[in-house]
Amino acid sequence: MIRWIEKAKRGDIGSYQKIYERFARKVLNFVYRMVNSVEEAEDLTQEAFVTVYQKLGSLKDDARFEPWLFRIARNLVYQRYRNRTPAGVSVDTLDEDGQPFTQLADTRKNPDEAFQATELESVVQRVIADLPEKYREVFVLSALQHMSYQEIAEAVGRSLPSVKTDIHRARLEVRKRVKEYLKV
Amino acid sequence: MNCDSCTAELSAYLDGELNGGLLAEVESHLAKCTACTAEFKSLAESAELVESHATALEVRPDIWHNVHAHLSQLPVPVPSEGWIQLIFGRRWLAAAAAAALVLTMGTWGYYRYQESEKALGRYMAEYVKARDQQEQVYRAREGNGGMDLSQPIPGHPEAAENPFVVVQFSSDDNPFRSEVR
Repeated sequence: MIRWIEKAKRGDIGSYQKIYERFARKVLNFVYRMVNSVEEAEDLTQEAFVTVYQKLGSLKDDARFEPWLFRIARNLVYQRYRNRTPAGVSVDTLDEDGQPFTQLADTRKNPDEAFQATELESVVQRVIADLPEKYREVFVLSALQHMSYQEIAEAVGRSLPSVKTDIHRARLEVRKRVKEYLKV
Repeated sequence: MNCDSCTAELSAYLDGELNGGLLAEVESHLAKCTACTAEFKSLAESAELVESHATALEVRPDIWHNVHAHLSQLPVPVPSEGWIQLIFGRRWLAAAAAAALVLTMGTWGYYRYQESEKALGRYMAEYVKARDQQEQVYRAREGNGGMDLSQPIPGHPEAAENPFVVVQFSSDDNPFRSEVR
């Protein structure tokens, strides 16, 4: 990874493509959770990777690439949505049944399970989208992208205790919203 | 550790962010507190439910094509590192720089050697020429009955300042002169 970054810094687009292939999905899904629009998420992901390539020379510590990448993606999201209302679930991301257009293939055989799973996907989509931005960004990076608290703090530009507190509050809020689906 | 401080740490515990003494305290508290254990299980289950039902988008190939099209139009990024790092951070570049340095120093040294050889040759030629002239003068004077030390040696103007040469020679200074004339 470090070698790819070093080569990309010298203009090797092939190495940059490897970096892209490794992180594009994570960035796309993080941005998607922040903007709730597939089209916007793809556009911002594309913009993020162009920006990252241009700024690659300013990255001091190659080992901190991932939080740096997410910070750029996050800043682009806030730049674009600075004057807009907080994102909700966009109509263009859902089909007639209220499901996202782009989703993973459902391999479950049982129709009841499939129905419940589809319902849960919709619930989870809304629960995450309804979180305040401050909680949502750290929750997505932690619960869905599995970044460490330290990396998240670097990505969002906040202190570690602040990130830790907000992740906990976000988890409590999410649990409250999905409580009826829990067995415990 | 009481229940309040334990529950405040449950998300961090769930995410594997605790270590050392705090981790031990939370685990110790959970081992004896059923309420906090239930709280933790509930949080863990909700986290699992969200993760397993959060729809993930797949990256369409044309996103990279668009990125690549942008990148192809950009100038090659300039690393912000200094020139020393730029040279010595790359082995082949450092080797090339060392080879160039050796070649330059070698050429310069050889040139200097050649110049000094030429200068020495010129000096020796002048020296031999002056020596031959002196030798001719001495021989001519010997043919005329001996050296006339009152005359400066041709080709050696500094001979007049030589303390071992008596420039103004008089007969009184001659220790072999006859006392009775």
